[in-house]
Amino acid sequence: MTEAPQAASVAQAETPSDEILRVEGLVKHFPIKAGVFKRTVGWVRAVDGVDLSVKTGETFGIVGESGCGKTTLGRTIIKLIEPTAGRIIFEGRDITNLKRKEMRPVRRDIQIVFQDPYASLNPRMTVREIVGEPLHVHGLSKGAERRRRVEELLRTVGLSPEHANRFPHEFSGGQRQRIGVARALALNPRLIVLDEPVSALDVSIQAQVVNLLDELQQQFGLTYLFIAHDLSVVRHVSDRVGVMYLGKLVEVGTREEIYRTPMHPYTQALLSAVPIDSPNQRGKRERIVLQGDVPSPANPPSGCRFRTRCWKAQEICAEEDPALVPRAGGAHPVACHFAEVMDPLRLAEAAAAQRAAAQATSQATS
Amino acid sequence: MSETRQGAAGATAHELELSYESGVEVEARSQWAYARMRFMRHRLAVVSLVVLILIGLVGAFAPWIAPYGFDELDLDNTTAPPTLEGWHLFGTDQLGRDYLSRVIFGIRTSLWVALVVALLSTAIGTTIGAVAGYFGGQVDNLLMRFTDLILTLPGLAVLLTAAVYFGQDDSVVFGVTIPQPLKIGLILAFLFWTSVARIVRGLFLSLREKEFVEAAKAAGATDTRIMFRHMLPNCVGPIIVNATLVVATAILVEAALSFIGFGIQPPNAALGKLISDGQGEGFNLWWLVTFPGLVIVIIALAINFVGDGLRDALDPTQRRVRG
Repeated sequence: MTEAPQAASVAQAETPSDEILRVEGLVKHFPIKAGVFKRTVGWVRAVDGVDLSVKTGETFGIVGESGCGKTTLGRTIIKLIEPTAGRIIFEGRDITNLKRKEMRPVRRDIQIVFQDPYASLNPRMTVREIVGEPLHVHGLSKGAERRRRVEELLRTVGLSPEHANRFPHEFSGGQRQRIGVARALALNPRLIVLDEPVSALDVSIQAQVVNLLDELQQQFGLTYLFIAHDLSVVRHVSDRVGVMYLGKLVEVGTREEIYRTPMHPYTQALLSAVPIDSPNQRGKRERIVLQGDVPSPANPPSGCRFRTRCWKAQEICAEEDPALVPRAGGAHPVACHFAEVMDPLRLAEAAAAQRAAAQATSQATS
Repeated sequence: MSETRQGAAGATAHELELSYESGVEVEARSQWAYARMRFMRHRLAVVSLVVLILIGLVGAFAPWIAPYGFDELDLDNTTAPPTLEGWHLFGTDQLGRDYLSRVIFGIRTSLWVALVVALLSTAIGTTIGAVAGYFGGQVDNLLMRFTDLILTLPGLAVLLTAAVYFGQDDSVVFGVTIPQPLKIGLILAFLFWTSVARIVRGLFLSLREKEFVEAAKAAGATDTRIMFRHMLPNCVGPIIVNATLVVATAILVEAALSFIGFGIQPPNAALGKLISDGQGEGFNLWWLVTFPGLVIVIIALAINFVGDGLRDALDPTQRRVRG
């Protein structure tokens, strides 16, 4: 259990006081069972050694394509799934091995918002019961007081208190996601894991929900772990970003570092695929098209996991797993033997970034 | 609302505003009120419920309603066809007993047995299925193999054996008298819970993976709360439908048991028993089979319709009640 890779620990030197969550060498392997006797024939390495550190009040974005383990990572962090190895430290306390009962008080501080607003609300419960459930479970308020608290929460997320008596199916996707957010807020948590909170929503609704999350963060001093596959959304909301590939973080940095000076070939490929919003910039950027598919997490490649699709791959990549450490040419940790900032990308990207930033601020102020 | 008044008395302006605002809300009705409204819309179910209640009342107050006792002989007036004379509306049987009275007492016994079977088998089956489906793994394996075992028992043989050993007389356990029909009910319930168990287990297996269950876990809810508050309410439809089927089957199986002489013991009357007794006479004494048969059909139909109505009424995603 204690074979957490020390070398790869996150390199930023934070004082523990402003760090709300630290994850060290987190591993989650799911057994693959086969045959009559349900023998374990292999392991899906959904999360395979992740280190990260989240500061109080920030939004830490995690991006990666489908199946890279980001959802498993989020669920393991809030202990909906028991980790195979590694440590989860929340507010200086190791919660990795807490039993379910011991976990209960911690759950008041860590909550989650789920991806699918249709599946995450019990169709047989009214909104009042759904939002009030955490209060009930923790015995926090009763009767009229709880009633008022639920109504207050609904108002906080932009719903009307009269919605409390309705059932989830009477709402639209965006409204349902607001209900999910209200439920997460009920216990006044300090950290919220947002598991693709807007991926299932219409683009126009995405903006509303993202802005709502933004407001709530400022209002309540929340810390977000924002998991998504949409690069633009992550860029809009995150202070720092981690890029995940096949169960591992390949690059971690501030938003600017990741989006303006990406150093890992995978990050570069991802970013080059983001559509450019202004027509006259189109075609000026080199688009990196990756070959092949993501390898199976049950049988990941040796050494660097990205090497099978990487245009820079050499022998060392197959032999040595690159550590997530700062490399020459950049300040942020990146797990690549040949990490470097790529220029053509940078130029086009910088221009787009400026526009996006300007847009983001105008959106936020409106 | 009393809470509004309390707010006014306790007095911050903000609180007042809050409760005032929520006064705009559409009248808060409980879920049960909505369920009742949805049920009331199901006309057939309402009619069936009324019929069922009437039949139930007739059964419950059989000694006061029946014109004669169920074992009152009148050897001068045997095998009389239905007639107004002497209020033998359903005629009399081979021993001159008033058949209407026998049917009424039969309803009493049959309904009672059926109810015991339905409630008990549903309770046992739901619990076993829920535990198996929720915990999975070895627990699931163990419980489901046990269920399979019960399922593979040759039902009739077991019933006969059990009925012979335990079911022939009233028995006294710890000073409490268990009437013989109740014992038949218990035996049937022991065999009937398997279908519910499998249904509920299947539903739980799929519900377990739902995000709202994970959400409840993330909130810190206990297993019991998740099982009974989150998952079970999402299974009521199939459970109720199955229970209504069990009621109908229980009446019929009890009839079969009585037919071969191991069910309800004479001179007690039960609907199935009446039919099997009357069967030998064929069409000559048609009323002996027809009336209890009709009553069974009516009960079974009514229960099925009520079950349908209940299933829809308890599902909040059914069409809205507020127009």
